[in-house]
Amino acid sequence: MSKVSNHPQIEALVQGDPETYRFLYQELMPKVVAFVMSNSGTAEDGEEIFQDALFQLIARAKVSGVEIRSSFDGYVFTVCRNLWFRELKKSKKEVRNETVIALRSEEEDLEAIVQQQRWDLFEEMLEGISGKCAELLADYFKKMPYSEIVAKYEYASENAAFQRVFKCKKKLTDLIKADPRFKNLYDS
Amino acid sequence: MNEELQHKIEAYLQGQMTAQEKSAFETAMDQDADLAQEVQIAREMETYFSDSESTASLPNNEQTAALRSFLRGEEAEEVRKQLAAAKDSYAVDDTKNSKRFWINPIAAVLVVALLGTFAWNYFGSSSNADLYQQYYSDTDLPSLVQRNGGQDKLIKGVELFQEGSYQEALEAFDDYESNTGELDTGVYLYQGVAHGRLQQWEEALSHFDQMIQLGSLDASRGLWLKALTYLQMDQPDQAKPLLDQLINDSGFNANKAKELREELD
Repeated sequence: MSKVSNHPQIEALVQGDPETYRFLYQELMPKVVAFVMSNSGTAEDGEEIFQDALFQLIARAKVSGVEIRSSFDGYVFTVCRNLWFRELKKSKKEVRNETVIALRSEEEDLEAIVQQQRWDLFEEMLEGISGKCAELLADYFKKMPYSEIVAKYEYASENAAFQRVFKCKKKLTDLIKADPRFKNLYDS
Repeated sequence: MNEELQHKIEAYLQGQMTAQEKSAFETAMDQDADLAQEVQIAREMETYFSDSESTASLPNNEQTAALRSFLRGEEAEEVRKQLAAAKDSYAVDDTKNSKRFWINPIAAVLVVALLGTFAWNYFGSSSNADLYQQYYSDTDLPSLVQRNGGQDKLIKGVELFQEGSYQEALEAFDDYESNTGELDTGVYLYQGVAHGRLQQWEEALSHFDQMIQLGSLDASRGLWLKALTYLQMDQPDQAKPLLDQLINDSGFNANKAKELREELD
């Protein structure tokens, strides 16, 4: 298992670099807190999510490596965003009296990490299919009816739309399965 | 994988199978690792695109075991402590930030709303979302014009917005519009962002257009926000002519518009 962290700021985060910490806590954390507060959370939730995101990145860097294709701050924000929406969905299932999100279990941390890694892989592999294919898959998975897909993409029939979705999905699946990271993220 | 199998996977994931079909399909997955893998990928693809909850199971492999071991170990505890100490040392007291938000509610809400809109639609395209984050800054926000009549309703809208009650916030803004004698046109930007949070793109764009058509100083600010909204909608081609206009008119953030325009090419 390789431990590749392709971004110098990931290494700086792991090493506890003061300037990286200053940037993260003074520049980025307020943005994450604002985002969480605008999505049914409190400032405390936002700070906790931010800490969890940094923890996740350090854990991944130490165990398996982190490869970032976007900007460092953009990626940290995305991880925070995904963690927060996981929490929101979880909280809908649980009756809570507290407003502060409870500490996650190690297994939940693990699930969040693997999901983020899978999504990173999806996002990267999406660049390998055409823009139209990616747009079609996004519409399909957002449950756009085939009748609307036919109209939007000017396909001849619903069957033609299905076949196009099938081809795009297969192409993306094949790319994902061919990536070396795949075996670490899915049961074989 | 053939088309028939694809139909079956689709029916299984969308809960369209009868109990008998479902049972047979699950038995087939137990006996066919490749099929199980196809279903797992399709399931995770769905969560990725639709932002729905992941139900995919963890893989049983070396990396999962190594991560689990790390998370349960003392080193993980040390990392948590290190981060807690870092936060104490570096984070700025956010109570000061909250006060600032109240002094300038429009500015505050636009920060929140635009960040929110960006993230909500993040899955559209990482590059467009990255560009949004790269090009957005607090200095893009309009200054708050203090007025008397109806100001309380505007503040009410801001409060609702901060709570994430965007529909109610829009109603408060409508109320403010109907009852105020002297409209703060900054509310158009506000409404545009609110509609964007509700993914009501036409309305969002229409409010920015209202600001643009006013021809006031803030019109070109509306142009900039409209261009950024198109990035959030993952329609960079629509953003390009707006950015061109900003560049040609030396409008709001013209230099940033130029840089962003080049990024989009």
